[in-house]
Amino acid sequence: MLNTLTQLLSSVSLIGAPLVPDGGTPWLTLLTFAPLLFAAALMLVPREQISVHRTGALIATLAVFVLSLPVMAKFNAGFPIAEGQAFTFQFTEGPVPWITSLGISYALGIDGISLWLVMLTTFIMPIAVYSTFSAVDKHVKEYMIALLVLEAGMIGALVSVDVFLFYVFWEMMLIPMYFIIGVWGGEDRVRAAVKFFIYTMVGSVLMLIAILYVYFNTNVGGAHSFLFADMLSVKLSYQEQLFLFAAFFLAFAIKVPLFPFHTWLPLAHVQAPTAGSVILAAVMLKMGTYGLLRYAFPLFPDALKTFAPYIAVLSVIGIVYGALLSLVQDDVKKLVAYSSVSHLGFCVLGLVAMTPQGIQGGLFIMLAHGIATGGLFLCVGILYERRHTKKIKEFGGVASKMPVFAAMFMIITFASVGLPGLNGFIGEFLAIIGTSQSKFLWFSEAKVYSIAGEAGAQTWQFMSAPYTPIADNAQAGGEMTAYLFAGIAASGVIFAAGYLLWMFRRVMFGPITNPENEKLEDLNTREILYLVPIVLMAVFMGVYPKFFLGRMEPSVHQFLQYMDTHVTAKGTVVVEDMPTDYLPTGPMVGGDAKEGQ
Amino acid sequence: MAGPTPVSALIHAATMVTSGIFLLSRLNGLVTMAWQAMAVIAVVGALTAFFAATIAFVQTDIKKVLAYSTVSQLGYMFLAIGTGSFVGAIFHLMTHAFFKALLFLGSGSVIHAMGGEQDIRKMGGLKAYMPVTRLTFLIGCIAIAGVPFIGAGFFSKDLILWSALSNVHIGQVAGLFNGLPSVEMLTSQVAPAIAQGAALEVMLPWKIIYGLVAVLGFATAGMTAFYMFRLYFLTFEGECRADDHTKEHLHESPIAITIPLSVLAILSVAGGWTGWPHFIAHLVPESAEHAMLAFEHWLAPVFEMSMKYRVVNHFGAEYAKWEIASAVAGSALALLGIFAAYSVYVKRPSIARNFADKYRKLHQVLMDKYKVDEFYDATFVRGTINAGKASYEVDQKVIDGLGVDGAGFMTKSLGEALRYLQGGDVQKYAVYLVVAMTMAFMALALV
Repeated sequence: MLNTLTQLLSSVSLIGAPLVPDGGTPWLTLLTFAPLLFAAALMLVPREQISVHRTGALIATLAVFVLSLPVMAKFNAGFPIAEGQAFTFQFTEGPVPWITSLGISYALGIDGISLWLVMLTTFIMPIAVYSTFSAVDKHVKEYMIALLVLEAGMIGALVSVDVFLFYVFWEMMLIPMYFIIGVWGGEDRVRAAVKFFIYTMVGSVLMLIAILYVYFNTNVGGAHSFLFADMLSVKLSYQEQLFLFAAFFLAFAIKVPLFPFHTWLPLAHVQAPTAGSVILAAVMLKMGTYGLLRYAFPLFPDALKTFAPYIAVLSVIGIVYGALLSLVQDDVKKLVAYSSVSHLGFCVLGLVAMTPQGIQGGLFIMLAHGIATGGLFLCVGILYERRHTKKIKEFGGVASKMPVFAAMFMIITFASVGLPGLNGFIGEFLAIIGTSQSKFLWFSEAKVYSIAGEAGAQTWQFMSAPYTPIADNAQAGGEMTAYLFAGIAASGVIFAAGYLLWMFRRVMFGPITNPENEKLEDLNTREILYLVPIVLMAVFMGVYPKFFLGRMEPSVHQFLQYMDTHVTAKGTVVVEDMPTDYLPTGPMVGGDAKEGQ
Repeated sequence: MAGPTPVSALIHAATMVTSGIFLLSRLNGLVTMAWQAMAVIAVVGALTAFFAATIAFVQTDIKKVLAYSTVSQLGYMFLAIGTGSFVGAIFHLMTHAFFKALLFLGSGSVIHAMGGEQDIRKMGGLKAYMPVTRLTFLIGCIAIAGVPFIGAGFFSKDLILWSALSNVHIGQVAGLFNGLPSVEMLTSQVAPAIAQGAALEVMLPWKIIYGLVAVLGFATAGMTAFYMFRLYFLTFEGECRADDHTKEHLHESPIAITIPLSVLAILSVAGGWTGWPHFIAHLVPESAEHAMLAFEHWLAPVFEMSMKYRVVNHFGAEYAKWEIASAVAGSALALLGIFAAYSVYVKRPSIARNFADKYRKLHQVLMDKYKVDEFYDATFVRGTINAGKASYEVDQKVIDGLGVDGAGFMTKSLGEALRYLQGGDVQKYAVYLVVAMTMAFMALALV
């Protein structure tokens, strides 16, 4: 079937040239449009046949997951790195002209940064779909189609290397999610959906303007181009960068969400149905951090250098603030929602640190948070389906009635807390290490004094007497700030243990005070089936992170080298010498690497 | 403490709570370099040892007494690290593991026999019913009290107290350095100076600080003996205060419980014989001396760094006499403590009651464990939760309410206001037209 499909795709007369130069399988196109094809197929099924829709959507998402496995398997983790380019994409397709007159083309590609996010998407979707079997009873057909369209949008946004195409997919994610929250959500669903939509839209539109500005500065043979590689080659002045970066940053910061742009998140998370919350937390929030790393950072390196310390400030505020808010929630789902603000703070902090550990930590947190928080939302959904409440005080002693659930819930909670041996720990640890070693987040000396006070800064200087500033770093003197950020971030781990374990104790342990909880039933087979992969993945990522980090590493190093050469303040990006393992180890997948695309 | 007794034995005795000691000892080189930090560690350790011991004086729950004694002994270990005796810390960690596991399991045996009762006021006279438990518990108490030569605690505690006593003399060598010399200075200046017979000079602040540490260490030695034997006498000696129903069921525990107790009892005695005081070890031939100081020799490679860079260690001969002093004083205090416990709780039990009545307030403070838990609850726990609540208010009212919803409200209001301009009412349009034209003419006229 696959071969036929491939032939069909490559013989479509709309596309002038084959997608993949040597006529190989266009994996990414298949991956992106398979969910849409399945959605189209489901449209033909009468709406009364609910079970067909359910199993159909499950099979569809499972098929997409299976389809993504070859991408992971064939991904070359040791490919030669294109010197002077920000990214080296594999599985490249196109660029096939789409709207020629505007320089818009269809171009896909994947690298170590997007690979795992695609895998996370395809991994979490079947779980999310499977969890809705009992949760959603009305408009099942539309619900399943919305989920499939959403999946296509998410994968598409991750694999596009044409900025316009990226923007199309970026907006395409928004619409199904709007309906998922607005139609199948909780009591306050309409307000939540509208707020989610408008809030995200405000950011995206500013980003669109910025994209257009960069677009009109491209010059490829006298024409403009939306190709990411062409946009990266645009030379922008510092003032231009500041404004454009601000526009991009706003769009992505809202999506992350970074403090203080986070208020749509608890509302949307709490009102969304379980599957919606899972996808929102696991994948859609990562679109913000992914966008920052992929687009905002390399396009405007000098603006980033200026804003980085302030982004870090927002991140650490988010870490502590989100944790404090989580601590006082009386609603389990809201608690988990606010914990996302805290965890994503770690992620952004790691990314802006511009150290290998920081970026890898940030990328790993994206995955770990997707698994752990997605799992937490599933657990909350399981409780909600049984009791139709999410209030912590309604529960208590649940563990004695639901021992299997308690075990899984506990492992997932520990993963979210960041217990060593589970996935949360790896990312947070790397992010904290990376932040402490960062030179990118240094404030100038004067600002350090204003933060730490004169006495604090002097104590620090006294303690680090042999310290010499790095020659070319104009803002040297703020080494303390990096440690300050790392220290505050580390306190977030303690808070996480506080609010999550406290919640777990109040919900699961103690005597059963509410007679309603007496008749709780333990997990059924379906629930076990969709929780077990989450638990296994949390453990696997915790004990063998190299499996994931190894495939990210070349891309991260390449990105840092690019940033190092493009930031005017030299010596601020920590670049490690490339280990020899990264020398060519095998032929590239999907033809020659399109350098920098 | 609230855990099952075998868990308490494991956590309190051997593993979890002592991991900090292990960590600091592992980092002995680093700790030694930070001599100001060592002073802090020593003071914190000494205060912990002392205050935990005072709390253990009045507790009536058998496991609580043991728990606070653990805190006190951990204070000892920190005191050892703070005064540079890493061997002493690890040695005490080991002997403490033996006798504290023994005591916890012994208390478990007692609680088992008493049908879950943990209050020592309802025990007493158990030696008639539980001979093995009683004997092993007594050995544990002897070990922790530090009865010379037969209690493992004597050896390790002696090493620590000696270190505390000799550490009073930390200071300067002929004005060369302050506190601790740097690594370079040690090899280039201090070592030659010592070789030429330079004496240690002592600076007053350190004399006071480490003097206080030593005094607290010795005081705690006596107090430990007192409260442990208070526990022993109240549990096993005297009249049985249990009710008749419990009395009927009193029995010695099965061998599954008594065998571990016996093994630990043997270790609680013999475990200390791996580290005899040096002045005794020096009396025997050299081959035997090595065996008598086995523990120290075993750890010597690990603590090489700290041994080298602590200047006090270079004055070994000078401090031999302090070891005798600490051993004699420590033993005397231990025996005094046991004697005091015997006279108060066996001879004349009224003394304890009178004392508690007379100093009711002090007694209550100790019963409440200085209200440390309450203090933490009121400050840190409440503080964090209140900060969370305040943040939530800010989040709802300011960031979301004023910021986000405010922006929405502004847009909406602007639309509301502007829609009157486009009401579709021709008369209104005519009015706008006239007003606008009038204003335009007036503007022209003014110009």
